[in-house]
Amino acid sequence: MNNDKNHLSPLAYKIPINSDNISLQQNEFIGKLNLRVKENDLKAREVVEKHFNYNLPKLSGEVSGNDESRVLWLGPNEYLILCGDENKSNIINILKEKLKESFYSLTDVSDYYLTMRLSGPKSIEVLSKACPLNFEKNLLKKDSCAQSYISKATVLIDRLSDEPVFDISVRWSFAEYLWDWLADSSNEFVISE
Amino acid sequence: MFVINCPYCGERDQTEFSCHGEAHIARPDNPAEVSDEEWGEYLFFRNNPKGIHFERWTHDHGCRRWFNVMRDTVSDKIIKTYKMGDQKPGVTDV
Repeated sequence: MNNDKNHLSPLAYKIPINSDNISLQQNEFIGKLNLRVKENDLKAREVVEKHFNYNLPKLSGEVSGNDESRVLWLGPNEYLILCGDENKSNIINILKEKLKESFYSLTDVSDYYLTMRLSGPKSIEVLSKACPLNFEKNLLKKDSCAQSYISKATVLIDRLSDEPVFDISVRWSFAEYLWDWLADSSNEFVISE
Repeated sequence: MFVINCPYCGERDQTEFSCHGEAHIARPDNPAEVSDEEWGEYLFFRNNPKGIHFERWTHDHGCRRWFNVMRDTVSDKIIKTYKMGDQKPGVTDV
């Protein structure tokens, strides 16, 4: 929580939750780019894959990436690229140049979404209260993502490890609502026994 | 819980989806030439069958893609979901 956009965040004055069972924090602001290329445009896919040095996700919920960036599957022809704020303009310029001959769209959505991190052994229990995803079926494994809703807010949930660690991206205007909802739902696990 | 099989995301809860009416309605190729009656037919009149019905749905809270659904209006059972542009399945196909 140390970059300068934070004072603008609707979550700036929220108190993070830190307990053995459950934790909730706001993530630092990072670059988020929405990329759309046609499913069957192999050339465009290849260009993108060559640049990032890994394959674009092909199936629902797949995530690929390395230390520098991460690409999430949003739809059959739609991807979300997560990268460091400092690399963002670089990636935009390179992809614009390389995709010049393809039919594509690249949108900077960094400020559309806020991301908060829910972690801890009780986090699945908290999410299950108002998210229709079937966590028991293990749909959301390590390095996979799913779009759904939590209570009334449409969210993108990205699971980062085998331990329950979830990055939840939500529209800026819904962030405060979702934070309050998660904090309230986590409350019963925070109270020490 | 009512589960719908999104052609892209797989099985998801019904509350993530919404229905947008009858599918496979083609806009007349030559709107200027069709009669008012034909245009009205295209614009306003929909089938309301007891039995197999074809509908357009979107996966609003998921991949946000449109797809078609073949549904039995009597039992509410979804018989088949298929992508936009795919061939309309016949009743005997399933």
